This record gives sequence, structure tokens and C-alpha cells, in this order.
Amino acid sequence: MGRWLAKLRTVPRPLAALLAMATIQVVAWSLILPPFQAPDEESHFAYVQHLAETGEAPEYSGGSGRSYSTEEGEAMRWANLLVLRGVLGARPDWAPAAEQRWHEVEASLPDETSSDGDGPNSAGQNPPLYYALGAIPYHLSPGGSFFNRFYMTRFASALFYVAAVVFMWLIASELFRPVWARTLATGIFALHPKLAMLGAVVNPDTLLVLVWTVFIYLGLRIIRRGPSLRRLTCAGAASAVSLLTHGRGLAILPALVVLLGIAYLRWRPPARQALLGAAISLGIAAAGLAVAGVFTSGVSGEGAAYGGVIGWAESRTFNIREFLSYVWQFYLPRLQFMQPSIGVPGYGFREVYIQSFYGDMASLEVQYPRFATDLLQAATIVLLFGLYTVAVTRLQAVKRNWPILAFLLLTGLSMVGALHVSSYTTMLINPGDPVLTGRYLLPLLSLLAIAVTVVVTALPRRLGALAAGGLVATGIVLQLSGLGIAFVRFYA
Amino acid sequence: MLVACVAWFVPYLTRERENVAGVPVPPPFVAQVPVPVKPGSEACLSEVAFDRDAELVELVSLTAPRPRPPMEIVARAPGYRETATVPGADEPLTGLYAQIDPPEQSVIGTLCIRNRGERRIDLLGTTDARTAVGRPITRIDGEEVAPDITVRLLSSDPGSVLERLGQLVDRAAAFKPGLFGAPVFLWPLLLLAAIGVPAAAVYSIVSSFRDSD
Repeated sequence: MGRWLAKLRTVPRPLAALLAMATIQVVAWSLILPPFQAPDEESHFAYVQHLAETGEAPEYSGGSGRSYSTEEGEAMRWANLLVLRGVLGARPDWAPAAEQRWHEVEASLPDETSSDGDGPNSAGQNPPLYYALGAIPYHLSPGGSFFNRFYMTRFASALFYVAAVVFMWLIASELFRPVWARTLATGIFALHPKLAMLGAVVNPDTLLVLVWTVFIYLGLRIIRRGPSLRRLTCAGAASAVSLLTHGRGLAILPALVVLLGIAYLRWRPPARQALLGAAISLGIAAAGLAVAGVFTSGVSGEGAAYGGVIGWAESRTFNIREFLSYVWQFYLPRLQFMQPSIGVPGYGFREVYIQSFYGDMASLEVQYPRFATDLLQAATIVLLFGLYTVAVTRLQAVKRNWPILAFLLLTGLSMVGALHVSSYTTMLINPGDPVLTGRYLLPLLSLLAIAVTVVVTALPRRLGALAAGGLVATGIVLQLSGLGIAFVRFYA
Repeated sequence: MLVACVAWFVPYLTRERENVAGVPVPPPFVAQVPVPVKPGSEACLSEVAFDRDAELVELVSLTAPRPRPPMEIVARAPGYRETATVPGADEPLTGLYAQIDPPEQSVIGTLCIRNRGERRIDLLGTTDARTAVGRPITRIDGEEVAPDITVRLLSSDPGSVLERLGQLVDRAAAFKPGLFGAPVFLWPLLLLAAIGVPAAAVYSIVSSFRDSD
């Protein structure tokens, strides 16, 4: 106990404050957002429940026709949660009489009504790791009532968010010497409103954010301090966890290969040691892939676990010119010789990198006002100019740090590229659904925090301090306004 | 932060808003569906929660600009019965409001709408998969019909978020287990979020500059 307390005392004060802040935020989001009002939360919780109750994942397209258990359905019915999702005119039922009736209904439900949600479940395509971890608080929840189990699962998931904040601090500590720069990077990460909201709900994206943040930290350690067997094993394990968490986690494989390549070029270890390290790292990742493959075998088609990405290899209609045109038009205006892009017209950089990356909370209906989105977009463009200016004015530093920059850049591109390929192949089947939204970029949030901090640290000290204060203040405003808008949307 | 407080937060929190007391059936998400109620017919919604601030029943008529018939609204539950009339009129109103006395205790009951006129009225309904899957079931003259009639219950006492903060916290406490369902827990949490989050963030950045010196 004494040793733990002594260790706790070594936690830097700014980090301790940020962790306290992150905890308050995530608990507030957990309790303000009514159950099942985050993206697909009813499906994710149904997966947790079915796995916890039966030891089996629900089916993606089969099953007895129940997407969630009878118990979950009754809870949603009495709390008016099913019609609430994304419908601004709806409200949860808060009448004491409805809650009392729910308690009576719950008491009368037979045990098997907790375990009959065997599918079809749209989350059934996902690998089981996150849900298996969710089954632990599900079983440990005191009292055993449905909403007890639900909120315990939410709170446990919130731990992934808080842990990700810790790893963001470790990343910043690898890259920045001044404590204020580490604090700024971690503050930007922790105050990101969409991440805090996502951390508060039942959704495997939070674990994906954590594992990518861990992977980036490990990658930086490997590049800066050398590819020890232990570090390579950990990087392989992080990759395996990513693969076992979500189909989008597949994008970590190219990043791992890039990491190994850069580490080799940077450190030039003896051939045998290099091969052993690579074999262990890739072997663990491959094992993760195999296990995920076993769990998701038989799942295919639009939106399947790897359906979007692996579907690329299977798809006969994949057209590289059309794909490149789509990617161009996603970010930039269409050129004269280009055909109109596949998919939803006008759905591009602003909608994904700004609007739904920072906002569009709950079931997308809790939105920041337009002026806030405009300001965030302008700030993002300023950031890009700032990065370019820093790169040009500090070319020597860029050349000296090329392994770190290449690793960060290619890791980001790995995820973004996979998302675009997945989105394009999905839109070949259903052009109305791009399957690409801002929260899919959150595993790369640490890269944004690093980029912002690089620009701020390049400013003269006084100006840098002002910019850091301004950025933290902006994060606070976004966080509190997000919470406030959600509170008013559901309860006013 | 001060700018945000003055220019955004304060106006947002002090603006007077409609006080929604409950939404048994929300407006449709995809497409409007008319629910015809013939003269003398009665449409009833089951399992409607009437809370202690449900003072207005809001329906939406789709028959404008034709004159609409008078309607009788009956809210009933064990130990509670309220009747109100929406008079017929020529003006092309779409929102129809019937004033009722709320129950002394929150109750679950039935809301019925009887057409007292000589002309059909089409009420707004929903059949879409997002909004027609709630608890109430709509029956006309005892026969279940596919569209659910859109109904909201309103309090006649509007007010800003700040003025009604206690009410909002009570609502947020519903359906939460144990301590989390206690307003005495939610109040400090809200205060912590409103004060603790900025305080911790500011402390972290200020102390980090001190530690960096």
C-alpha cells in the first residue's frame, strides 16, 4: 500500500489534474447520455450481454430474429429509449410511474430473457475482445438489475479512455522536453469532446483508441531507444489487440510493418536479432489476426468485420481511377476532367475531419452550432499551415528526426487509407452510406495532439504560452458546451 | 472562456424554452403519415405516462386548411381522469392543444381523442422504424392501427434551463441505478463538471509552466 502511495506521488501534478478532469468528464457523459444513445450502443451492449450470459457472440446475420435480449427490449420500451435515438423531438421517459412499472416488469421477467438476444446483431461482425472485457463488469455489477449491469459496463469502458490519456502523456514525454508541452498535448487529447463522449459509452472504438495510442507510444520507444525484444513483443501484442478489437484495427498491420522497417533502418541490428524481433512481433500480430479470423469467419458482405477492407480484394468492381478520384474529391474540389465522385454528394473533409470528428455526439444529433464548426475548420487549416512552416523553417530537425516523422505519418496514412478503401468498397454496394465518420479517426487523435504541440512549441515562448492557454480554454469550452447541449437535448 | 460564457453559454442557458413533459410518440423521422379519425370515432394511445407537469396535450392536424372538427381529449389512468375539448375552427391550425390538469402523482394510462364533429380529421402519425417503435399502441374504435399518432405532453410553465435546472436533474436521474439515480449525486457531479473540469485543466497547464521553469 505504502509503495503504491509512493508511486502515486511520483505522478506529475499536471497529469494528475488531467486525469481527474478526464474522469469527471467521462462520468458526466456516462450519466447525462441516456442508455443506447451513442452510435450502435444497443447492439454493442447486446453483444456484451449475450457473450456474458451464454459465452457466445451473437450472430451477425442469423439468429432467432432478436437483435437484443427481451430484457434489453423491455428496458428500452419503458424508458422510451428506442425512439429516442437521433430523433430530436423525442425524450426519454422520466416519469416515476414508468420507472416503477419497469421495475415490476423487470422483476417478472424470466432469467432466459437476458440471454435470448442471439441475433441478427450488426455488432456480431466484430471480434470479441472488447465484449469479453465488458462481460467482466457486467457480471460484477452489484444488485443485478439491468440498468446496473448497463452502467457498470459503461463505467468499465470509460477506463480505456482514462488509460488512453495516460499513454498520451507518455507519448508526449517521449517527444517533448518541457512539461507544459506534454501537458498541452495530453490536454488536447483529454479535452477532445467526441473522445470523452465515446469513452463514456459501450463501444469498442474506445479500446481501439487506447490500443492505437499504446502502439504509437511503443513505436516511438522502439525508434528512439532501440528495438529490444520486449518492446517488439509489446508492439506485436498491441497490434494483436487492435485486430481483436475491431475490423478497423486491421489498419495496424501496415503500421507495424512500417515500424519494423524504420526501426531496422534506424538501428541496423544484426540480421539474426532483426529477424527474431520481426518474427516475434509479426507472429503475435498474425496470431491475433488468426484468432479474430476464427471468430469472424462466416461473416461477410457489406460492413463485415474485415468486409470493407478484405472485400477490396474480392471486389471485381474496384476501379483504381474511380477510387483515386473519390479520394481527391473527398479532400479537394473536383477537377474539370473528373466524373462526380461515388457516394453522397458534399460528404468530405469537413463532414468527417471537423463536424463528426469533434461533434455530432449522441446518435449524431447533438451538434455544435455552425459557427463552432467553421472555427474548428479554420483552426485545422491554420494548423496545417503551421506544420508546413515549421517543417520548412526547421528542415535540419526534420531530417534528423525522419524516423519518428515517417513512423507517425505512415501510421496515420495506414488508418486513413484503410478507411478510404473500406468506404469506397462499401459505397460500390450502397452509394448512400459512406461508412466513414469522424470517430473512426479517433485512434489517430494522439497524432493531432502531437502536431498541435509541435506548432505551439515552435512559437516564441510568450506567444507559445498564450497559444497553449487558448487551446486548453477552447477544449474546455467545447467539452462543457457538448455536455450542456446533450443535457438540454435530452431533459429540457 | 469568458467570451464563450458571455456570448454563448449565458444566452443558451437563460433563453426561455418549451417545457416538454413527455413525448409518448415523437414526430415521424422519415415521412408523415395521416391517421384519419372519422366523425364519432375514438383514437386511443395505450401506456402513456402522465407526469405531474403534463398540462397540455399537443396533437398535429394534417387537414389544414379545411375547417377542423371539435375533438374531445380524455386522459385516464387508475385514480385519474381528465377531459378537455379542442374546439372546431376554420383557421388552418396544425398544432392542436388541449389543456388538462396533471395528475397528483405520475401515472400510466390511456390518452383518447374523440372526433366530436361531422367531418374527418387527419392527425399526424408515424410508421417509420425510428419513431413508431415506442411503448404506446394506437387503436381506433378498439382496432389497432399501424401508424402511431404523434403526441407530446407539455407543461404550461416554460422557462429557461437555468430556471428549471432542478427539474432537469430530476429527469436525468430517472432509470439510473442506486446512487446514480439520486439527484443528490447528480448535482455535485454537474457542479464538478461545470467547475472542476475547467479548474483542473487550468491548474494542469499553469502548474506545467511552473514545473517547466
